[in-house]
Amino acid sequence: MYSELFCQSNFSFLTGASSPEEIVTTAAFLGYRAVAITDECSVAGVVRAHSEITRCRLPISLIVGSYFTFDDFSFVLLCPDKAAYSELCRVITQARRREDKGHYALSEWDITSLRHCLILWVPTGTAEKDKKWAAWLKRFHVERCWIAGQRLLDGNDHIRFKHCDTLSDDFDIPVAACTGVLMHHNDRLPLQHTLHAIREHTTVDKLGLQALANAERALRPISKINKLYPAHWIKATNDIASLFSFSLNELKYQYPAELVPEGYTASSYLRHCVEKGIARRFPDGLPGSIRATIEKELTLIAEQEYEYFFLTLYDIVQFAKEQKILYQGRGSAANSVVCYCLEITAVDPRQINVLFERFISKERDEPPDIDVDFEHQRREEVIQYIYQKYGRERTALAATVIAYRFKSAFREVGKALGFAESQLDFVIKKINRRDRTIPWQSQITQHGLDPSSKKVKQLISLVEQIVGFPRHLSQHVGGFVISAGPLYELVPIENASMPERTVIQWDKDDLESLGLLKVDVLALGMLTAIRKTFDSLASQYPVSPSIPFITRLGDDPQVFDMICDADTVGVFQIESRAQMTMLPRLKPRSYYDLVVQIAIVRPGPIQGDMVHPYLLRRHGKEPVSYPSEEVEKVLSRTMGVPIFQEQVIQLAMVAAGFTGGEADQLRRAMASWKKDGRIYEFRDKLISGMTSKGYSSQFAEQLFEQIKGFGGYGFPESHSASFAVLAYVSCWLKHYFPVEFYIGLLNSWPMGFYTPAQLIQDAKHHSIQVLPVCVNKSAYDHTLVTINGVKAIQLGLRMVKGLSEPGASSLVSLRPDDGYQSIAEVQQLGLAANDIEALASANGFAVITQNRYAARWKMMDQQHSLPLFADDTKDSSFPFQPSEVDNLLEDYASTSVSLNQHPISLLRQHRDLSRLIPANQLRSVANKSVVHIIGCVTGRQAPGTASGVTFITLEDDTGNMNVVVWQATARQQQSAYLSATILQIDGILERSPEGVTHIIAGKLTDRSAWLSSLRIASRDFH
Amino acid sequence: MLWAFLDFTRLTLDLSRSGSDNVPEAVYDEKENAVVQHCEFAGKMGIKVGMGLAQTAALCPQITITSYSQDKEHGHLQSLAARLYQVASDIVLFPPSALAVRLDNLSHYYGSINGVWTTLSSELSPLNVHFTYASGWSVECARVLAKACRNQIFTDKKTISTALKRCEVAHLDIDNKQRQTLSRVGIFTLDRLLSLSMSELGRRFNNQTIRYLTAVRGDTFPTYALYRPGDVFERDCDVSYEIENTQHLLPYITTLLEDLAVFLRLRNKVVTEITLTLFYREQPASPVQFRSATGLSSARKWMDIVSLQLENLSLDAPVISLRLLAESLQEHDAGNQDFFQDRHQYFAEKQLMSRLQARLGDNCVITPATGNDHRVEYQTTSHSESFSGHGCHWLPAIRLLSPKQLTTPCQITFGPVRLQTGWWDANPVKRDYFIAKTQSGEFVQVFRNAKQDWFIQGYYA
Repeated sequence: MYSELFCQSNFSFLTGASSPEEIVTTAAFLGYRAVAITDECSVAGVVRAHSEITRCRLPISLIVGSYFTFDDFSFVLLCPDKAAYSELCRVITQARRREDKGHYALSEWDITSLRHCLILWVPTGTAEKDKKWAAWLKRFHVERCWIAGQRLLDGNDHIRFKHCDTLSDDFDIPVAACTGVLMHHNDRLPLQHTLHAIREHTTVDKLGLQALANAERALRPISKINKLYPAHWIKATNDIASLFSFSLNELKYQYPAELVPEGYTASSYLRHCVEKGIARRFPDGLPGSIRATIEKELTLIAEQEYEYFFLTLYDIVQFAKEQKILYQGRGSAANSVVCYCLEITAVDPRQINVLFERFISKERDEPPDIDVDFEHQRREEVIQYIYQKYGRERTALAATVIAYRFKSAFREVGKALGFAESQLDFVIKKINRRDRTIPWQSQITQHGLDPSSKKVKQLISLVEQIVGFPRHLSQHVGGFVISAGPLYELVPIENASMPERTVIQWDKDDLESLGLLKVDVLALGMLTAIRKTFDSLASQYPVSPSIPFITRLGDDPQVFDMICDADTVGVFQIESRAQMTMLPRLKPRSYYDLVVQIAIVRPGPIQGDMVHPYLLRRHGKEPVSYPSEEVEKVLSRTMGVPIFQEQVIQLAMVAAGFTGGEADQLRRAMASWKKDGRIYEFRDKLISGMTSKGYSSQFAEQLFEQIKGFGGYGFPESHSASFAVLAYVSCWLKHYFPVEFYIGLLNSWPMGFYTPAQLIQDAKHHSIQVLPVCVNKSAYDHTLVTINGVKAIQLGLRMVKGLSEPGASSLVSLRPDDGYQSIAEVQQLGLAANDIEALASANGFAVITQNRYAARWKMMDQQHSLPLFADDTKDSSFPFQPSEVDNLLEDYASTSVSLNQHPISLLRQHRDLSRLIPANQLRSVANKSVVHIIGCVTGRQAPGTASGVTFITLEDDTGNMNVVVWQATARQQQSAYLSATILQIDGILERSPEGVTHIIAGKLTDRSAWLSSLRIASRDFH
Repeated sequence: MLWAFLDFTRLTLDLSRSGSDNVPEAVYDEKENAVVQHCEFAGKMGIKVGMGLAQTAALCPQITITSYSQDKEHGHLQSLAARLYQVASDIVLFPPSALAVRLDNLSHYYGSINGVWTTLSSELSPLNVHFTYASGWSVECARVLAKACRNQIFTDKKTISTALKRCEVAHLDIDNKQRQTLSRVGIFTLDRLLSLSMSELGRRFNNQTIRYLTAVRGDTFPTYALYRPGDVFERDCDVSYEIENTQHLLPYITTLLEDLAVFLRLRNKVVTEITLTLFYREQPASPVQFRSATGLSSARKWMDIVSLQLENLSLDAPVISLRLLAESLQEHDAGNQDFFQDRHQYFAEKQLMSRLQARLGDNCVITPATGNDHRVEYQTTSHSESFSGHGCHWLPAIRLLSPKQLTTPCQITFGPVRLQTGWWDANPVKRDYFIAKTQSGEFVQVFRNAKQDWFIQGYYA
């Protein structure tokens, strides 16, 4: 019998060479009674080990511990009980909080004050130092400390053994046998050497005597352990192992009690809040069916004891509501009627028949998932509220484990093996990870690495092993863990790289495994834009618009007409090129159509080849049929075609016979298949299960492809339902109040898919007048102005590149009533020189100077800013004037958009472009005709789902054109394809029956030189 | 004054090219992530200076990339200057890749300005280096014209003035910010810039810029530190094909040694140690040292030592370039050498070492030192930069060069020490080491390999 008390997994970054899962699995296989995961000042890996033991029902106990170094004192702390665990978390937290991210610093007090943890001391081997620490241990921790006796077959064992025995005899501290495991199997030695070299910023051959001499720091068979160690050392180890009773299952989450006022229980208070919400949400009375749903949901919540979770969210959204911060809940439980009544979401249950039960499953016992999006510019207020309300001791962000991905792995392993950095960079840049036909292992050999060379083989093997290894902990985008008592008693907390942010050492999967709840506070730009549009409307009209106000009006045919025309630049979700192409084909006419529309243009349904069947059925070209009644139940709302993630999982249950637990594992494997490929374990079961129930193997294969497609981009119906609300609201605003909406969008930038320049072009295409930046008229933000009773957009100073916000604010606040009369007057304000130059470049002084060259020339004169020469207004004339091209280039350089002229219209004036068809005339060109077009490249997209096809968006003075470039075409004309800012395409126009027009590129000609140095912001390959 | 400015636009490429016109080649600067030089063929495929590696690779997947090193480029420039210094006097270096030569003061010697230029260009032509050039009334003026790729030697002021006006602001040696400032007031050409009065410009630009502009106009002439050949001989030589046999290196080394001999003779110096660095395409460069107990300057005598030592040298990879370095120059003073007895002995020892090393190879003349490797074979080393830490305490006094099979029974007294390392190179080991006592009472270091065969590695004293 043996237990290993000292194991460092790969959560001891760049030291341990095996995952916690591998360690526990192998230790169980070798017949160990227990294994301790003792990463350095961390418990980040313990939950994974715990989950693996539970999942595979391994006959082994997990001991939670951690390894530390304090000066020349190295030791392992082990937790026999919950009190010791809390103590360990506290010590780790204190040590981590003292240092920057990734480091820790213990103080002597941290270790002196230990009362519950057991100490396994790893002596240095130097008699003098070790005697000091032995005496110290004897003084403070007698009865709770052991000497770690290691036998590593490195030539020093006899010295180490003698030293341990001497220390043990002199100080009466028992010796316990341990290995100090760094690998689950000895074949990981090369990987361990490589990790060591990466840590030391050197190459493996230069590690020399620092490197491990052999693979003895792997888990060793018990028979070998018995040969290597004296029996009394092994006995001591087993004695220690028998003291452990602590399991991570004991960790119980205590919600903050202050959420429930006196006189209420959590349940009764939740009911109270829901009843209050019912009065607000259903002023005309609550339909009986909805009342029944509410009761069912409340019962389920009570059974699962999730009241506090809902109340925490309720509290947060109430704060947001009071502060007039717009928000929207989404996630598996967000679209319940309870959430609607608690105002967490605006999805009206009467519009969508979403079963709450589907999202909180009693069998699966998984926590409900609710993410709340807040306005991106004001999310920090919500975060600060949480910190203030619960205190920093009780609140922290969940971690995100940043793991090695191919590029980082290839670069670092390559460096450790001694490859030249430039060669590695070159290969990395040449590898096309989207090319699924040739794996990277083959691709690298096409780029100068010899596949038969031993070093290249080692590189490939090590990169394969290291991909997925954790590299460091980062902060989750907004997942908060809030607890009743100090959080550091539950899980250690460490500093994030962002100042004043702390993260716990577990990520969302770990929290989920332990059944701990997190509250997701996320940021969404569109909410900011919508709130700003609402503010603008409220200031003009006697209404107070809100999201529920718009959704309650029901589906508006005019808004859906606009959506069907794909006139959706700037709106939420359905604005991307792929979505816009799909809109005229799917023709959404109702809210639920939008829910489907948002979910269908995703890797899952596309890879599963579910898009075309859905479209055919929707337009009545294919009968809607179901292979069985169970399947009908799952797929009826999407016409028999699986679109949503949860439909696919339900299909696995009803069609392939997965149990609830298996379905849950499938869901988790979906989320992480790119990291660990565990999804393939389910392939055979899914396909054989479905074929045995009479489904075609083709359908089963498709379903599996779709499951893979969801990996990493999981998109359940509930998310889509919440997004569809915002998509609809933004479309409604764009249709009825376009000027306010564009201003809202522009003032919320950066956000969304389009640049301000593209949004302004779109506004102009909608005949909205846009006024240029003006030193006497512009505010900092873009504003709404009325010209002859017509609303227009006055561009704000925020549009000017290089103009600082304080500079712009001073300019506005100090502006005289009658405006500035001269540049000298502006110069006297004391603005930074850069600010004034930026304004001049943007032609902001047009009202007070003849042209921007003269304005800049004048400003460059340093004498004007000197008080003595302030009155010297003598104007020396400046001989040069900007041409139209100069003005256009300056406009693009300073504001990324020219209001006077589009580059293409300028080209038309100077060149004969009559052969080239403008965007707005493409509609009248017959399908399959040869066309010649020209435009500024505003986007290049090569989506992973489109197998080598690139979509290029060209913009001319009349609109946008969609160009499809096949891989072969692109390869032959690389130069124009990759670098042109103005591109001429000779190709064939293709129009689908629904009217979606594409130009299939034949010849690409780079016309950038026609307007040299024109810098158009193209969003390439995002 | 009349200066010629020579801008070597692709120095690294010129000196490292394979020579084939159909192979796209480019020089890439890792720090800037930009292509800095490329050949014509690569240019035709769309490669431009300033492109990132990703775009370059996408445009031309078969391109050969050479890493850019400013130091190396500067080294090349130094050797070009050293070459030109044989025919010209006033040379100013503009590292890493440009230089200026004063022409007017040499016209007496070469008959005319054109005569000077012909001499200079014929000195460079065997090297096949690409450069743009122009002449002007000041270094700055010539530099602007050269940057504009005028490639003309102007001799009269009027043509210089006309050519200068046609240049663009982009050709001026001013920082990007100032260039942008000028372009944003519509000043794109020197014609426009020089039409403005200096007082107007003076109110808007700093003194440094104004000084520069007056120098371009030829109103002022800044002083420059002229090139002087260094006291250390360092010369690079790129071979015209990849050499795998050391004997084929000898002609190139002879040329370098002859250059060294001229260098030393002109200074009345001798040298006792030279370093020949061999550069490879992939592997790091390897320096080879040659020593002579007595100071030498003659190319023939050095060649004797070099050829002797090269006989024993095998090349791991093809050599693409050579560098000869002679640093510790000594006065050529034959009389002093035999004066002191101990000095003589010192030389005798050195001489013996250098002869032994030259004859037997460096590897056979071992100075014991502790090696930084777990493998027993690497625990002693002859390398000068040995590991300063402690070696293993269980090593034998005598290690066999190659282990021999253990045939006699013996008794294990210590061990095992398990070594499993070296997987990254050609000599991986997986062995258990022991100390054993033979029947005759000898203590031997033995090991057992993965196949369970036993060997003797060494003997304890």
